[in-house]
Amino acid sequence: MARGEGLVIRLVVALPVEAKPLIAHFQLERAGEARGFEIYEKEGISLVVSGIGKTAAAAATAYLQAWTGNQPNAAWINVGMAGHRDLLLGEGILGDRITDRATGEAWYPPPVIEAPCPRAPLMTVDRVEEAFAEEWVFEMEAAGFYPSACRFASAELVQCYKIISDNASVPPRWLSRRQVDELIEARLPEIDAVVQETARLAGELAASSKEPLEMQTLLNRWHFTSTERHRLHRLLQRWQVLAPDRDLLDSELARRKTGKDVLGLIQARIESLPVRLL
Amino acid sequence: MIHTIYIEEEAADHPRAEQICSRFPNADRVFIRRYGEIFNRNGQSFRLQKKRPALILARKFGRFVLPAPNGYGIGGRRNFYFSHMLNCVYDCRYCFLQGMYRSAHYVLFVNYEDFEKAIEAKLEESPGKETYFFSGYDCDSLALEPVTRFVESIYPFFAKHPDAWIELRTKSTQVKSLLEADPLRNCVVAFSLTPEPTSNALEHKVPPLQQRLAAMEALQARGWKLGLRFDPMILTEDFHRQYRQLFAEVFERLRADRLHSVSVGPFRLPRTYFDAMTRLYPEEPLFAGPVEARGRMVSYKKRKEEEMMSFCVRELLPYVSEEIFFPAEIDGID
Repeated sequence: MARGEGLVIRLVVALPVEAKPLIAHFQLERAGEARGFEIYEKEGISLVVSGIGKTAAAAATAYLQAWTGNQPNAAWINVGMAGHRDLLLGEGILGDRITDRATGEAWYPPPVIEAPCPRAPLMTVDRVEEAFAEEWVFEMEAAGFYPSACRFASAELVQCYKIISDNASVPPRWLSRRQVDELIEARLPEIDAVVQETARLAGELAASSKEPLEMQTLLNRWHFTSTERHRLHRLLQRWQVLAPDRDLLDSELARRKTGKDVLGLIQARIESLPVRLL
Repeated sequence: MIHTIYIEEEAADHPRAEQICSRFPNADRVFIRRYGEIFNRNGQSFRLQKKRPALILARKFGRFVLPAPNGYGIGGRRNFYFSHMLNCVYDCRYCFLQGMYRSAHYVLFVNYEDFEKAIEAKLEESPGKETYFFSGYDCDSLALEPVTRFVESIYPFFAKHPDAWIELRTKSTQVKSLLEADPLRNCVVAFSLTPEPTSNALEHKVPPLQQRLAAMEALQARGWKLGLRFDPMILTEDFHRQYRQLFAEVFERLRADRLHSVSVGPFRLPRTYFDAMTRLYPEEPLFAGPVEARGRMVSYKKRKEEEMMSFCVRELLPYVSEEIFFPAEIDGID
């Protein structure tokens, strides 16, 4: 796992036992001040332990967003255990459809990343599934996590990764803490791949919405109305694209008296630049 | 190429859906109720989806054939368009689809037969009168032909209806099915062209200009009517040199006297689309360049646009007769 690259990653996990291997892998530390949910974090990666069920998952997702300061363009991954009639224990699955059994509502995480594992539809249930009557991956959080996380990030950045921990032959009640630990441990490379790929996409969106370099300097020096700020933002973006090597903040600009004058000068400079497409 | 296919329940048992799915045995298949569950929902990123778009197979209900927007005609009085597909396999930075949709997935409406019925109904409104139908408005008409077999499917219909003209608008080289068929008198295969450096900079995933010219040559030699669409004109610092060279190259390889039509159009976008596209690609030089809002549209400044247009008209008229030449009216944009 590469770190320190400005990636913003949010992990939502139901149980402490599921969180443990992830906390160790990403070397996260407990945020002592967090109340209501346990949060672990380090260098842009945050993990919340939600508790079981879709309501808890939705609440924990919203809590994590607020806790991390409403940052946009984060990658959101729900990691957890799931059951399936036939799939082998330990198999990793990326959800391509999430259905809430209680309401019938469905969501479809866009398949933009190359999955390191098979994709399959998830069915979020309110009680542990043991009948496995249908060909679904049964779990208990995705239908709470997904719509909640999609309020804070573009849908492509929100994914659900599940590890099969029980099936028709091995009912969930047989699962021990140690087995959960081992199942997740064995799938850490896949989890890492999903996290990295999603975070890379998030990074691309973050780069395209980054504040232009000179923005703060100009805002500190001149007054701009709200509309003028928007215009300034776009003009500075355009300047960066069209004249990346030229200094904008020169003595001529410094002599401008008002924000409006500044905008006028930048606009005039942009219009005098040659039109190049590369 | 297609890694995920979403299949509407209503479309799942359509033979065309089954045929298309069988072409991609390794693709993930996800069943959906309506394509609107996936396509164009809030909180999606066209830019990210464009990296790995999925195919959505759907069934269309109603509004199959719509009046063509002003300025879309090529000499006919009755102009309509239809979209058997939404979105395009190419990634042209100036394309309005990026501003119109939040999703980059390709939606293919598999019930072509209902499009045919709707076209027939339009023809019955004015029997015996020539009517133009444009198919490449919300997609490239030919780019996905090996998968969709759209042209192959509608060929017999247009062969039976000589008053119904169809324009297939494309930037692709997928002309095999056309070359294997007898040319239709009432079909125009219209190629959108920009100068090579502009194409390289802005028309991502589009085949190289030389390959497209070769496809056009082959079609013309086979007897198909071609249209040339120098639309949109894109401003660069060496605009004159680039366009002069493009025209020379095109008319060196194609017979101008056998062309059906030639049109020229400015770079223009509804303001809301332009703003959305700029938010998607703020680093794109095309959007950082000298454009302005005029009414509800964004385009180059009027004087610049007029100058670009008159240059192209001046340069094209030695090659093209006025009867088949349709430069867009600059004043018609607002």
